[in-house]
Amino acid sequence: MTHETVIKIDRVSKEFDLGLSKYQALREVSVEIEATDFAIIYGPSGCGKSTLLNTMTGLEEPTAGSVNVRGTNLYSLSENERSQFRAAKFGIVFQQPLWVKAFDLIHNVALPLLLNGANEQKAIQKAAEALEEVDLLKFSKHKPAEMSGGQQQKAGLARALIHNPWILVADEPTGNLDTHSADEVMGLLNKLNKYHRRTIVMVTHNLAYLPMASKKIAMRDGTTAENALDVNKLIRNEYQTVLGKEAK
Amino acid sequence: MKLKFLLKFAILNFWSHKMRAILTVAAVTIGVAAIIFLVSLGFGLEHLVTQQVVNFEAFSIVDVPSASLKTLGVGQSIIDKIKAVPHVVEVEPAVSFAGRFKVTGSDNSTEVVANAATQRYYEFSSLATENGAMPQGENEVAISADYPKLVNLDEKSLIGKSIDLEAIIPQEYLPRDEIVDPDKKVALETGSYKVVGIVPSQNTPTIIMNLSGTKKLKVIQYTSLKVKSDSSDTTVIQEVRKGIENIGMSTEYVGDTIAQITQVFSVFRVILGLFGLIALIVAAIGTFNTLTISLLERLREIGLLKALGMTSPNIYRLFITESLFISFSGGILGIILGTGVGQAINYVLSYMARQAHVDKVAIFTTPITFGIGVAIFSLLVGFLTGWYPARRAVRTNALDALRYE
Repeated sequence: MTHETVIKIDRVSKEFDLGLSKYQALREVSVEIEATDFAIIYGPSGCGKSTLLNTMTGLEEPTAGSVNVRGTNLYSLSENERSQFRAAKFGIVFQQPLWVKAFDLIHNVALPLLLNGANEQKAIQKAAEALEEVDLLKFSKHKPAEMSGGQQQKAGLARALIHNPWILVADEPTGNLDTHSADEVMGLLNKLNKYHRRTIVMVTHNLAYLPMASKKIAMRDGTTAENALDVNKLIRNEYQTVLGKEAK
Repeated sequence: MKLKFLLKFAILNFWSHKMRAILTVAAVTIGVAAIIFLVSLGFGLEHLVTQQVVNFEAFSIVDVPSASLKTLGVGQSIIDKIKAVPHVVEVEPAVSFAGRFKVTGSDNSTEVVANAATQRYYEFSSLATENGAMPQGENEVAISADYPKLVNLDEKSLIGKSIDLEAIIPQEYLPRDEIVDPDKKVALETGSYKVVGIVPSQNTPTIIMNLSGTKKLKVIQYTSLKVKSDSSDTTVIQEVRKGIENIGMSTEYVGDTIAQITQVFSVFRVILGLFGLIALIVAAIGTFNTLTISLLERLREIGLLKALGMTSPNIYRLFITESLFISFSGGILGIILGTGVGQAINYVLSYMARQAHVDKVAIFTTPITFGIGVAIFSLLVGFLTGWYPARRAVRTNALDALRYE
């Protein structure tokens, strides 16, 4: 399983129709991710990172090219088949914690299993185990909104992993967290990859996390950048602009 | 996704805004209750009227009215022919004529209608006394309550008294040898009888006598017949009527009258139901509004569910289930409320009737089939109101929904 290709993205393009104009978000991107990879997709704002991630999970159908996940061409499946495939094979962590407000934390964490038709009692049992692992079991009967951002993101991670997916994808999971919570979440992701051999694909702005990655995918203007240093420079410039605005 | 979890999901979603949930269900409850209450009034009034018109046995009885008999001069031979018609089990004759009577020893006489028939004929007509007994022998009569009322006498004081009746008998009712003057159209016959009972008002003073009582008046012909069939099935009744009409008689059937009454009340019920429907339409618009607002509020949740792999059919089922839950719970509560208010009014009216020593009254009747029909209809309304929000939820792009603020 060491060198097995889990995701193969082949010359994927995505064009958005904006009515009066068209926007090319991805331009013939080709990427391969292996089973043991902790892949980090990074680049400046608007470079197509999230679009690439969404294309990978079957949420954003590309205009051209193909996405294969362990031999299954995602976009040859019907929409419902794709939903079921995503439900079974992907675990998703969002930038902002998203929950079903009517449910308590434990039901929210159990949701991927329940949507897959699992027995409710067994799903709740598994959710309790998952929450125990991230040290949040004491909040199981609370509404997720009652927890801090960092706790919610850790619970989001528990939800993403509860059904034992092939691939964990995370779209800027630390984007809305303070440094301490962000480090905790990144520590958990690193542990999952190193010790649990979980394939992880993460989108981030933060160059500080790049050393954790076994595969670094630098992006610029809708495609993978050949010169990663240029990309790093662009991101730093962006930070300085933001910091400059905040200082003023 | 399991059905049990789908139901739990829908109910928890709905219940997450408690006040809105209560108000929406209350609106549907009032709408359904209005329909149940008004249409039950229609059913109740119809039941009240038909109950007054007939008893249950009447549906197996065909009337052969006097008009045709008079012309034909019906006697035993016609009765025998009718008895031979398939499905006929009984033929009961009656004769009516006018006359004048007075209480024996009194000077004042009163004009009267006299009806003579067999005991079974009176049973078929649901005629019974309110005081005393029905006449059994040839010397017994009952008088309608109109007479004591007319002469301001206590009903009970008449029972046991003798009366002298002077009957005006059309000549065709008499045997040929009894016709003294063929030019006269009527004959005057007299007889004395004992009053044994008082029957309810017939709108005019009426004497009720047993058919045997007409012997002394020399009557041998009949003015009407009641023909009992072995079944009240419409097809059988039609066969019996056809058989009698083939003999040359005309027939009447209480089912015709009931059908006319039912027709009138059907229209009445539809009008009442439409008034109730207006309330339900308003409630349905409220439900639609609630579901649409709920959809917009939960758009990011829909995006999340889709991203986590919830399929379009399951998203659709979730919204439809929520809508069906609102309409069904509102429907059941509405049926309970509408029926309950009707029954409460029935109870009050019956209590008042008891106080006034009259029969109990029920002006609200809710047939169980109608209740079931309304429950099904409320589910249909739920489906219709939930359809659009459900379709919209299905069509929402997961990523657009996740970005929705």
